[in-house]
Amino acid sequence: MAREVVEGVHWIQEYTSSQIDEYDLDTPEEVFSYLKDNPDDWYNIGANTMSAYLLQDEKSLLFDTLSPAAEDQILRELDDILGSDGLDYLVPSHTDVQHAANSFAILEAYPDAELISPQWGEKHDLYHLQDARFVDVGTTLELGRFTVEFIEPTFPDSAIHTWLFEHTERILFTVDWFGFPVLPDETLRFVDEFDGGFTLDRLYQFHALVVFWYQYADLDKVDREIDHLIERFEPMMLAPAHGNVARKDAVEYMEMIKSVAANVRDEGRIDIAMNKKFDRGGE
Amino acid sequence: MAVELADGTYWLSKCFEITETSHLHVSVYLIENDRGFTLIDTGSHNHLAEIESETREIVGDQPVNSIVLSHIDLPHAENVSPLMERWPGASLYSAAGNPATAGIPDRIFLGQGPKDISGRRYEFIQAPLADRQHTLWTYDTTTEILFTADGLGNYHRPNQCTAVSTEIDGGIEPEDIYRFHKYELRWLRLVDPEKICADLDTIFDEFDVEYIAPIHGNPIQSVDVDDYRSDLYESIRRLDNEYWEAAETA
Repeated sequence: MAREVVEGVHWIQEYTSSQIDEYDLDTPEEVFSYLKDNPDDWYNIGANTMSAYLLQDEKSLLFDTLSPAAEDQILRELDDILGSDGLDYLVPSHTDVQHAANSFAILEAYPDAELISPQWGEKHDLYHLQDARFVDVGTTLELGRFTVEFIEPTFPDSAIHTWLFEHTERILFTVDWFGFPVLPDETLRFVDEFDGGFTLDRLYQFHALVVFWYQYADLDKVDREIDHLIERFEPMMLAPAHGNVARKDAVEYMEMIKSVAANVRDEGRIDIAMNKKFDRGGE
Repeated sequence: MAVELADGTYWLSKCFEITETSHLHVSVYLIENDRGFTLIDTGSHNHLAEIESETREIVGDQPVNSIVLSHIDLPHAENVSPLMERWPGASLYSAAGNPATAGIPDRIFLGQGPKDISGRRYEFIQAPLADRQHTLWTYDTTTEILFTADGLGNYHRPNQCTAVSTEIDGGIEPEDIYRFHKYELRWLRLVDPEKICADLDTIFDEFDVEYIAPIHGNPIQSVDVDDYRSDLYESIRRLDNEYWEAAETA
């Protein structure tokens, strides 16, 4: 499934399963009412989605590749959108399998595509990136109408990591930041289209789990970095890898995460197992 | 090359050359149990053949019956499929939430806390130093070895590839500890050093540690643990100082 964020920017979203059917909740109102009282159930009812973004201009660039479970999906979407046009650039944001795993399949389908990797450290061989074109922070690519800049990943997990900023439409691609669990009928909806609105609870559930080191955060530093991002880029939209596109109020959402970081710092990270009902099997 | 850290626990030291003078370990560990062997992580594609042959040499006719993944990242989980093909009876343990999206076979879920694997009691600890949120440190209650995945590592020199900490003249170089954490855990620059150091202290208060066994570093013998921790904490404080110095000049 894909949706155009603005003309030429295609949002491709992979939705993993939800356990919402195990709950006796029939309407969005019931769902949100339940989640308000049971925030720990966000990841049982919602899902951790993966998003990739295809910028189609005089040249084309794919940012991230979805997870290994969605290889067919990403190839199908690329074929639908690009048609007989090739793919010019493939940019995995970082080496995490949920973001980069389909790189080989995509490069096989589009052998003229150039693989681009952030230049950080010297261990690209460990990640099959030795033949990539390495780019430093600040490098720009002119795609035509779009200008894409490789920027510092302010809140990264893995070392070899990049964010993007598209200057024409002012879209900040935040990878693992500004992620949140997504309900089944919210696939490919912009945040402003959500029934029930968008609350801190969702952001908290994701960041307390994924950006686990917020439990140690120096909040002065976090706030300063967010302010710097806002001042430097003045983003109009946020395009995360694990959430939905915010095509409005980008700065407002970035400011919200200051509170989220503070909450995680005060209350601690969320336990790996807490939000999921798993079968703890054994031998 | 395999180094026996404790009776039945082996460090399969594998190296990645970052520069001519600086290497990065990409290790796996093998633990004998009463039914075979447990692998901690599976290493990089660069070393698959060596890992397989060294493991075969150690286990002999016994099976690798369990594989414990610290987290899903290529240098740790890349060889799951070929090794499970070689030892098809092995059970896979991981904290990855969704095996399909993590690109691994079906797994037995791990969360923090105690768990018996192949008749041996382990404690799994949510990692305070990690590059993936689902990373678990593994504490073997039998040998008191703490397997720390991407945490508590170091870059090393070419003559230190198979050395444990006590075999390194002068000990693990503090600069190698600092550089490792600066380049591998980029988020460390944004933390409150005292908060994370306090959290690390609680782990060492709770668990007696005979060895720290990182994937990306030299195993640290108990006599060197305090010095390593001191150097690590200084590294984190140094990153904090550097952050604010850069902020002042920005």
